[in-house]
Amino acid sequence: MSWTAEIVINNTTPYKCPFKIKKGQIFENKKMGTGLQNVAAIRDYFFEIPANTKKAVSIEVLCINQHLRPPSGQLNLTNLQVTGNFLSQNELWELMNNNIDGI
Amino acid sequence: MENAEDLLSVIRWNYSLLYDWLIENGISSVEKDKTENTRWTSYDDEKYLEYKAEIQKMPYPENATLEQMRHVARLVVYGLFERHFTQKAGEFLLGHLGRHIEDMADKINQRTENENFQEDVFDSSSQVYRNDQSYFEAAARIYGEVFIDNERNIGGQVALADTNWEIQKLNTNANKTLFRKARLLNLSEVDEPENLFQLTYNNQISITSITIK
Repeated sequence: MSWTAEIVINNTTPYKCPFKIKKGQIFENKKMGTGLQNVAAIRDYFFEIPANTKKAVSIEVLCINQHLRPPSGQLNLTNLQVTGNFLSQNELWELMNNNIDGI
Repeated sequence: MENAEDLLSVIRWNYSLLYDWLIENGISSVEKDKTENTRWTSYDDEKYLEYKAEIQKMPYPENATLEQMRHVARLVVYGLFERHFTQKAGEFLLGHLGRHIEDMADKINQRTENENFQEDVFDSSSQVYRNDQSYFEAAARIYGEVFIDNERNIGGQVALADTNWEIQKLNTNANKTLFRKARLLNLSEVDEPENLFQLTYNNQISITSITIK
């Protein structure tokens, strides 16, 4: 199951601004230890915000922390992405659970 | 024998004994065997050419890398040069020199792995944080150096701390709490120039909010 994250972006410059959200890009909770899952973009997204415009864009996300509660509330964008490819929620969890390595 | 440099110089000395013996005696002893056909049962011409090629490409001890020396040692212990295992360079069996090189190369590699591992964790002290509260108190301090700016809606700190916590909880046999960096959490930095994080971080645009719907 995927979730939708709505991102409201404000471009105050006099130029249009194209940008990318890469597949696997991580969005995190605003506080650590909430027990809520952090999430990752389900695929690559390309958007463009016109000059001097505030715009909401929606993307689909999947959860990265299988053992935590479903995501909710406000998020931050991070400069992190999942390493490796995934095609479904289960594959993403499997990828992340590879880290349960005993070290 | 404490550091990798010392180990490497011992490996090089051992390798130089192997190298000198093989250069001086290797091909001639094989050719002698071949001519006399005494022990020449398993070496066909192709294998002989392979043997000669390995001898000829052995690097000088002064210039050899660890992997090159290890390669020759393996040939002596269980490879193409194994026929010389019981021959002696001075007082040392060639096979024992080869094994010694392998053992010490393993030590160097293990040490390198440990050093790399140390670079992948913020803290690897032996302390165990038994409950969630003490973990997150420590995480707030240890992951405190990772960027977060809640007002601008960008960060990275929480994803690392939460994901590390999940792993730590599931590693029920862990005898210490590690605070892993991104790579050990199967995460990496987004490095594309037009990604939204960079644009926001550089104040080219701003994020008003991100909400799960």
